[in-house]
Amino acid sequence: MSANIDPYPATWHEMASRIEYADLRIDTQERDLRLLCLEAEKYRIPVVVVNPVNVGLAYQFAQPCGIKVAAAVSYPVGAYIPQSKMVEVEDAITDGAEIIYMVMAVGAYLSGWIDLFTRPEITSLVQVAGGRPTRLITEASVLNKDQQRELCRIAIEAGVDDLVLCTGFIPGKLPPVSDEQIANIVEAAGKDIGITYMGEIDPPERAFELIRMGVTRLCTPSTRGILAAYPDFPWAA
Amino acid sequence: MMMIDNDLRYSPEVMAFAGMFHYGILGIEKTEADVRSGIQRVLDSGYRLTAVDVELIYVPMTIDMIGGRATVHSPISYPLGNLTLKKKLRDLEDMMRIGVRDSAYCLNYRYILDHRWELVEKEVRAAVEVNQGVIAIEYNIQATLLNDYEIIQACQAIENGGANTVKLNTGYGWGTGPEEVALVRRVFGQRLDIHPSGNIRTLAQVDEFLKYNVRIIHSMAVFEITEEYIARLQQQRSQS
Repeated sequence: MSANIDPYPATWHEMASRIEYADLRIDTQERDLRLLCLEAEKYRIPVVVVNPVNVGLAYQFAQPCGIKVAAAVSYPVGAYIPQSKMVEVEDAITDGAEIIYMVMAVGAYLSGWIDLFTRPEITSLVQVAGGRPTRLITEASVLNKDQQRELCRIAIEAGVDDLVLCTGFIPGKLPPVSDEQIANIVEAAGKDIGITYMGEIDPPERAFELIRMGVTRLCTPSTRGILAAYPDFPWAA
Repeated sequence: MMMIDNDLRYSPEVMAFAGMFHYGILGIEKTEADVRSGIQRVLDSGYRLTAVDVELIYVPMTIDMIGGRATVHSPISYPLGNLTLKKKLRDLEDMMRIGVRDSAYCLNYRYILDHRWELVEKEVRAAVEVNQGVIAIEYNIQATLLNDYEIIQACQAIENGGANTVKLNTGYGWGTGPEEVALVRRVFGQRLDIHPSGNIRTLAQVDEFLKYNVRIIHSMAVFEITEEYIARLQQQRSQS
């Protein structure tokens, strides 16, 4: 860890409370889901995030540990019609999901299909989630400043709890979300909606920077590395 | 630069070669304009490709625009195979209704990696039963992540489930190698159609696949590869 970046928040417990521990890989196996939940419990992380097809199994492992399961609906492309996405939200809830992440149809939004796709899918997400926390995943790096702010407004109006900055899928295929873009969205969000960063975080001190910039939550598989940056984290070795 | 005459460019041999390919316009960031531009490229090429691959939300406009010049393909649970079975089957039904006639169905890879072959077979069978032969479906595994035993077992489950086509990679981050095609061909003979995908950029790669009687190939570089093919034909003709 570089010496010039102090951990923020100050304790690893506080950092852990801001993390939702993700395993959204293509090659996740049953043993990975079990390990995810065991580590979440050990590291005091409140939520694990998994692919929809893994929600039921993850729930079996997470529930006895008091860990919540979140589903990443329509991950990673999101280019489905709203009604079809809601089938998946319902499935996830039936299987035990208590938090719903959903990838929006980014291409549809960029095409100007806001009333046809964007508003209906976001409104439906909140309705079908039935009071469970909702996190709308976008790819902020392909939106311009105005679009970033407009999307914030649409999500806030619909009652979404968090706007997720990126899918984190195959780093390098899309440009990473920049600090300038994050700052723009954080400003537009104000206190009306949380901001989540999704994906691998490397180096670990990038997590401190993100939270200092106003990101409220990290949905990441890089949990151990981030927490190990705290000198008193018991499992750093 | 070599001049190519249209007689060669649109000869039956070249048309048949280009006709093996899928051309994909897929991705979270793809807009209506991107898709229109990609389709226009297909139309302008003069070739009749096997299929144009688009996300489900762009299928209706693609069908309108392509006008029967290629089949419209849309993938199911692409690329991770991670959506619930109910959602996958719902998408399949939607596709049948709106006119998709070709699809890549990404199987649940956890079942494959956990060696739950009966569940892989069950998933294939469920899709086959809903589909009733309406859509040409290639069942997508991620062969690069599997060992030979797992590739064969997954293909066996596809066959046992009532299907006969395997796509060996999604093309997202991984590509099919000739050794994977050779393996499946050796074990299953001609019972399975094999569709390579991912990082196929050159004629030399295509030549390797053709040795194993592959008839369908997914490549974003279809037009560049076809140009290579034409150039080779031209050279062969000038030497004969």
